Amino acid sequence: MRSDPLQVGHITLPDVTDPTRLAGGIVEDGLLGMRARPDRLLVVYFGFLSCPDVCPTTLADLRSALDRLDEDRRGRVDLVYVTVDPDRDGPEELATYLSHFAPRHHAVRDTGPALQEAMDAFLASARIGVAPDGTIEVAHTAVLYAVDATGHVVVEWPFGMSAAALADDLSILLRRAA
Amino acid sequence: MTAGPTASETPDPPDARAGSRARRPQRMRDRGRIVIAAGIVLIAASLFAPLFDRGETYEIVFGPGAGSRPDQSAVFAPIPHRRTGDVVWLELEPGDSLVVRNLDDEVHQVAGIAARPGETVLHTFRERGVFSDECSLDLTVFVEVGRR
Repeated sequence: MRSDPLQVGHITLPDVTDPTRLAGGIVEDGLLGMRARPDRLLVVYFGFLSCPDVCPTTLADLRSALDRLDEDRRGRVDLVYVTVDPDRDGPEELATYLSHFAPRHHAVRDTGPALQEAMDAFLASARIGVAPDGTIEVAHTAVLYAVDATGHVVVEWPFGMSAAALADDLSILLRRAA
Repeated sequence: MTAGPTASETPDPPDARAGSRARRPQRMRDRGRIVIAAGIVLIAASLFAPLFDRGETYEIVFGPGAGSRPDQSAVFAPIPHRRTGDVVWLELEPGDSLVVRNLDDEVHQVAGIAARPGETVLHTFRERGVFSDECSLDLTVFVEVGRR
């Protein structure tokens, strides 16, 4: 709970989503705005496709949470997946991966400074390093963010939240957004 | 198999049966009221429990210059915790809250609670589980809720 919520509405990032998979976020000139349409929510996650556990677990929990909502509410939540490993995560790989968790979504991939600016706004971080054996190691913030139509982060869920708790929170947020 | 009356049961004396017919509805009504009252109490208790079950509140303070110090584990000292190698496990109970007070000039976070410079952030852990803020091979702080 913050007295001064994070404001991310000014952030825009390149949307590389397969058009047939595109969710309901605001995309202009190929850039996705980090604010939801009225009566909807963006759920934003910074991750990478090679992650063996935390990222897929988080997305699986989110999918399970969405499955607990009725169709109307489920349709008002737009997943935004921002890769922190853009060199390895291409648009096609993102589309294939994300289709397992959300049929409609936004895949975001930026290779310039906008990614860092976005992470700063969310208070997120990511580090990519190479282990002595040559393995690429990625460390990043594992928080799910809910963003409303004003561009405010209204909830930050740490890794480990249950699907039931996520669903409860989403129901409350969607009721407020309506 | 039901336990209803059978033809072999001895019937009650006429007076007793009459009295039973007269009293039983009243007793049933009383029991019904008791059950309803108990139900209302249970529902009210469950509705208002979150208001009373506030748990403990623990504060983590990142003082000025905390970001440049190699070992920040001292800030966890007031909180029940254990260490496994380099990993610190904060041990909370459902309903407990963490307050992260950041007096430093850079962002600090614990278990997904990120505080900007000068900011104080409160998070209440409502459910059991293991919470963390980073996806990495060298996680340093977990919050484990419901272990104690």
